[in-house]
Amino acid sequence: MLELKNINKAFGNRVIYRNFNLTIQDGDTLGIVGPSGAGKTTLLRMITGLEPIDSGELLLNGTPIDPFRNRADAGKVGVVFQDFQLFPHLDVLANVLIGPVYAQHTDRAAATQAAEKLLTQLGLADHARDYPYQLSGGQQQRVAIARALALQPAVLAYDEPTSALDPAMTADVAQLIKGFARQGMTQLIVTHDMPFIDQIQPRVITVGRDDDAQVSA
Amino acid sequence: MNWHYIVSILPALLSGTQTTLIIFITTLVLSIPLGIVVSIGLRSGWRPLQWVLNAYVWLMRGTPLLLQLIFIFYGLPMVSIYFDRMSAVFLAFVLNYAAYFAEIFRGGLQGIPQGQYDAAKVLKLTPLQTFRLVVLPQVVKSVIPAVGNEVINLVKDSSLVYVLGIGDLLRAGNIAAARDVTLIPLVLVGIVYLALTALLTWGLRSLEKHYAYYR
Ligand SMILES: Nc1ncnc2c1ncn2[C@@H]1O[C@H](COP(=O)(O)OP(=O)(O)OP(=O)(O)O)[C@@H](O)[C@H]1O
Ligand SMILES: [Mg+2]
Repeated sequence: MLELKNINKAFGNRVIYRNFNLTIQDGDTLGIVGPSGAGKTTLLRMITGLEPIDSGELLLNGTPIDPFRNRADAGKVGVVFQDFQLFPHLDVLANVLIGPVYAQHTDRAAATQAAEKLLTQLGLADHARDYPYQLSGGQQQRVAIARALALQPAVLAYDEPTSALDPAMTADVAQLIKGFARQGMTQLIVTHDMPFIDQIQPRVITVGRDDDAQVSA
Repeated sequence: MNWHYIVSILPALLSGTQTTLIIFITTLVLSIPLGIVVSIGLRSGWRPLQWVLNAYVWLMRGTPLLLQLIFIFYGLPMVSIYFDRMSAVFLAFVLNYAAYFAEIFRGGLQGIPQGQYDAAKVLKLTPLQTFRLVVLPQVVKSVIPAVGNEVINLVKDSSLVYVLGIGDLLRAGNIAAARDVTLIPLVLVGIVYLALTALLTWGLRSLEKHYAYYR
């Protein structure tokens, strides 16, 4: 269970979040929707430790975490970036292995086995030795998903997962996320693509309806 | 062509080539790491350091290497700072080339998107791991052409040590040409420089090809 408690966040005097609270239950798949500039990406960056929180608390299963300052807390929320940010100089397998092998010090053989299993689940078994530039957008996204899952995060967050995809690939990733939801994975989908959300039908939270984009849920 | 003559001056030219290569290799081996360190300093958030390093790069790139050589070897002794010839050469060349390399690496570092650092952070990589595993390999690829230009320049710039009376390739050729009143030694010197730059060009091409495995 991931809880955001009384989160405040501003950029200069532009307040994005004011006393914002949100609870994501284990096994929940939650959609966060809202207009451009509402602060969806900012929310995702705060819970993944890429952006500091001005005040408030992040709790994972009741324990406070600070992924921005504390590397031990990083990776607990995995993220699939809008533009994936795969490492272009590493092949697919190496992209997936880099977290477990270098950050978690998992034995390389064991990590490789786990990574290959993940890649197979994601339909990428034949692409383990390909480089990111050789893959389609949808395949690159699945590599990004595999790379995040390799660290066994408590929550997997997606930022605008359909923005780089054509409609057929969008349907594929909707199926994938629904499949993960059925497996009991905890997921957070940040998007303004409503038809996509309709395909998944998760619980949905809307942010940033106010003109001044102060957000409270 | 007087083969006999060519053979007779070959030992002098080879010894000069050896000196040129020592200057070339030493400068590269020291100035590239120094350039990397300086480029990291240039991108550090610490203003005083940035200021000092920017001044250093500006000075080194804004004045001729020949002036720097003369300044260190003939100028500094006037304020009681002495270097032997080779030390003066290494000092001037390493400082000068490190400044050029620092600029190149700074550009290379700037070319790595923030998203790559973000991705590394959420994967729990330490800053050092991020640099070694994510940033550096990509920077190396992007700077090869610019570094290659400087490497070729260095071969030719090494002849500037002539002014300190060091017996490099150019000096060896020039002495023989003046003594024997013939152009042949200078032509041979040109050929050796061409051979060196051709070899390096080929090496750099191979390196570029090696890194062409991804885009
Ligand atoms: N580092 C930053 N510095 C200053 N302002 C920022 C920064 N990051 C985001 N903002 C501002 O915060 C607001 C929310 O940005 P955010 O990227 O979270 O919106 P979003 O909901 O993800 O929008 P989109 O749908 O366009 O992706 C925007 O007004 C943006 O300009
Ligand atoms: Mg966004």
